[in-house]
Amino acid sequence: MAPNHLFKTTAFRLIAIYLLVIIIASVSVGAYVAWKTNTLMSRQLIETISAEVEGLAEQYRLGGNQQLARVINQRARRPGNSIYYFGAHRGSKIAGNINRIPAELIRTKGGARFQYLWQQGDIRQQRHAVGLPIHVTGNLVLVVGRDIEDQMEFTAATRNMFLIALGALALFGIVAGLWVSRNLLNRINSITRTSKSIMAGDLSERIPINGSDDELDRLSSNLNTMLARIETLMISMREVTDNIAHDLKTPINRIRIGAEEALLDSTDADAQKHALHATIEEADNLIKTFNAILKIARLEAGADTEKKDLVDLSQVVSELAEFYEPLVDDAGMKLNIKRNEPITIMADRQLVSQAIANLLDNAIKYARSTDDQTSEQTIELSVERVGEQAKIIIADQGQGITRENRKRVFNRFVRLEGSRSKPGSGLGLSMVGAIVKAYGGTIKLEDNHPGLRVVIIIPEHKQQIAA
Amino acid sequence: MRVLIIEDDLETARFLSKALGESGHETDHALDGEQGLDLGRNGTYDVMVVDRMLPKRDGLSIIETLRDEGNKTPVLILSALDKVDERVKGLKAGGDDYLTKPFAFSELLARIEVLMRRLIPEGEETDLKVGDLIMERLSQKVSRAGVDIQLVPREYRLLEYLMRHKDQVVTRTMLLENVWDYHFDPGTNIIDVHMSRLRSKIDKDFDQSLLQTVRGAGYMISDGA
Repeated sequence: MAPNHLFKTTAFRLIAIYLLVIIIASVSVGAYVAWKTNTLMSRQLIETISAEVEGLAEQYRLGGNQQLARVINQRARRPGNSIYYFGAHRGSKIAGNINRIPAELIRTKGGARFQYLWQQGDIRQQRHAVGLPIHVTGNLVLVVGRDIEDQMEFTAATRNMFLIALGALALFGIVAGLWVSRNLLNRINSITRTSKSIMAGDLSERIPINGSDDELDRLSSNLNTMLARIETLMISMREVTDNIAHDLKTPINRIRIGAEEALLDSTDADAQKHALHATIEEADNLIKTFNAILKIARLEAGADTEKKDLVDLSQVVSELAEFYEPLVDDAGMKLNIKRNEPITIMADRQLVSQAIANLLDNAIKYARSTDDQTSEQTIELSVERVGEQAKIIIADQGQGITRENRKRVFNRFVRLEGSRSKPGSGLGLSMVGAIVKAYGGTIKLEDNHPGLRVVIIIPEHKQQIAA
Repeated sequence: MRVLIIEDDLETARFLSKALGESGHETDHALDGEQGLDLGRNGTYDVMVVDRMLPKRDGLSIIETLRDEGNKTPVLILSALDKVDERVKGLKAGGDDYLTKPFAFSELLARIEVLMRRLIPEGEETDLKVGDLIMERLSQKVSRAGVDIQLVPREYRLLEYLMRHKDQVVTRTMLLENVWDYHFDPGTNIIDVHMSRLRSKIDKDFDQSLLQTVRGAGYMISDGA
């Protein structure tokens, strides 16, 4: 990745701004603390000096010049940072540890800062101090001061430390910023890369998820869900187009033939009528097939399941059993229904009824052809609760579906050998599968020894107990 | 009876006018929503057939506007939109029935004639009569020529619907929708099976058949008078 690319990222820019703000804040706080400390120390110094001056003035009142000079000499000999001068305004010193009044103090009324020559053994140096000059009598002046060199060194050292810390902070911030934005950038780049390959037409590509469940992870997983939806939609659209191309051509052609036949029979009114009726019937079947394809495609795209109500499966099953009972009876079969308490799911009653109706219709249609009138074939229809799921079973004793065909029959227009002679479009099970999937359920085909056993599992809707 | 057709497809509109004309109805037709609303406001019609997607003004908006203005003319909505909630939307807007395209003319005609009959205030008659067949709705008893007929609940509901629409053709889809409230194609000739069961109970032992099959359309209960 090019470095100037890195500096252009939002993450880096945010971090730079953040760092700048932190530095400005730190400098402000540091400056304030330094200023406040300095003021405090200076005031303390001045107060100490003032107090000492008071004390020395007292000595002067008690014992005059000699007394004052003696005390000053005494104090000047003590080790420490006190500075004293007692003597004439210009020149001759009477007592003290500096030799003349520092130039900086000559013209001031209050205290001032000055420099003096400090000497200890062989070491001599210019040091800073603060002093307060007072006129004692005549041209005699008393100066009391304090060395502030240590204080200044301390301040300077603190300032340096502060600047180094600040520098380290900035450096660390920049490095961390680069690292974070590089990380972020890598992940965003992977999203960009994925979207590019999707734009190029590969809809099966997915954005990697690192499992941290952070914002980017959630964004990626949302995008992946979206992609999955789009992919399903595209696949089902493609299948619809393919189906229309392959399986609807024949009936359309039959309609054409019917119309041509009617034209040919223009002299025979009855034959013409017959041909036209057959054409209309063919068209009606085509429309039904077409509607079914559209409905399945919409279900698979999730567009038809927006309308959801509470549906009691036990009731749906009872109603359908009542509806199909005469048909089952006419087919010489028996319908055995099992249902107990209400089992509610969130769904559309029409779609759920249609799914079960299609399965019942199949069970009746694909009954075993048997000459033995004594053995009555039974269709079992049951609804029960298994954990938090609703389990619907439709089992017949008919021809059944062989294991290798059990997946295939859910595809559109698949009609197994032996069923082609029966009426049907090959869309019934596709519809059932699409409806079950649309409500988050699963469908399984099993062997009923003999016959087919369809097991549907749909999550039950957790009912809220009304207060 | 006068029928207003609001339909933007000229071919469909012409066919409906012609076919309804042959069934003895007078028709007007509008090819866009604005013209349709004008005609609906100013003309006197017994039924309106309204397409949903129209130029200038949507079918549902025509119905809503007319209903807001107090117009109670029965409306059959004709639409290519066949999702369940589209149907609910249509009925909510004030439509009385909903038929999806493509449709069979016999289906449309049967539904229009049922809607026209609604003009005559029905009143919840307690007893329904067709010839010598009597349904006492309070006691849920059915008898023909004084002989009690035992019906299971679904047969009773089916017969009740037929008798409430006596002398009118009812289609298989109408029975499916109104008696069972199923709005999907159950795939088999299941309505015919139900009808033959019912017929065997009410017509079998009598000379006159009250339940008639109308070829290419549906069923009708009538005493032929």
